[in-house]
Amino acid sequence: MYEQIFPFLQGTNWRITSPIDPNYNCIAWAAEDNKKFWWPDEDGYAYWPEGVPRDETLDSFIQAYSSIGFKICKDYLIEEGFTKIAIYVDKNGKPTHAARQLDSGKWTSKLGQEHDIEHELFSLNNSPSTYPLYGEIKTFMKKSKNTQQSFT
Amino acid sequence: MYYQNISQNQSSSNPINVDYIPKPIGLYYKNVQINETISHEFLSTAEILVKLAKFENLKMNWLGETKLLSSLSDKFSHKSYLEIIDIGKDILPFIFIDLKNNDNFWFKALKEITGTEVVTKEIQGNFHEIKKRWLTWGVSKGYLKNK
Repeated sequence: MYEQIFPFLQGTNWRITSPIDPNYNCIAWAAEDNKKFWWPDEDGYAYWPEGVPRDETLDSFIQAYSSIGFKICKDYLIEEGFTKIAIYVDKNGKPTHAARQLDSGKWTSKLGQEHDIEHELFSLNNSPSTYPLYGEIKTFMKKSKNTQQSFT
Repeated sequence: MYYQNISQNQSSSNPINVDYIPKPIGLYYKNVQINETISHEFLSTAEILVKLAKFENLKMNWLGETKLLSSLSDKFSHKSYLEIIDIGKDILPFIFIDLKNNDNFWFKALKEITGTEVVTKEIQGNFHEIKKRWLTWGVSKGYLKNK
């Protein structure tokens, strides 16, 4: 099913790595949190780091990840001792998705309320032939693997 | 097509052909005896069938196009989701049954229809806790007979 939705998965060595779990989403999973659903919704159903504006803007997402130690970086190449994430935006610049780099150089994504998958970085980009979902990668961030983090 | 793919995976049923099984001892929906679950003071059996079909159709449209999204604003502003909200209180029993059996984001619809908010700061982001609170509320108001 996912290969039809994300055609760039086809022919790559991707795999499902978790059961379906509605309790967390891609934004949380990129932050290594699998207990909460992260989103800056105005109703406050989702978790969003304290002090970060609840705006659906790239700046708000960068601030959210900065609050747990991430800093903007220039590329997706593996750097020893660092975890990298990629933030996706739609055609209007609104954040849609985030993925996290694994030690292998592959990336892990939680697909909405569905599975976690392991994939190549650009496999989830929009395809001209399908319904637009996550758009394109706009920003990379990185964090030292020694950084302590807690989600309160 | 994205919607069709998700729909096929979501349920063995066609979104329009709801998989209820009327039986002499009651009306079943996804193995839940709904005329035992839904209080009769809200809907007659005929009304249940009509509204159930409409609800399932709208729900499958909504899920088909938003289930892979993390954006709550996109989920909550989807046309079919708004249409469910517009139906009003008559749709509450179906939302509560679906919430009981599945993990779908009905929280905004429940808030909009009932005018009630059960979410507090300490459970923000905790899907299962929010769900539990809504199910408790639904039972307390008679929309569900059991959690």
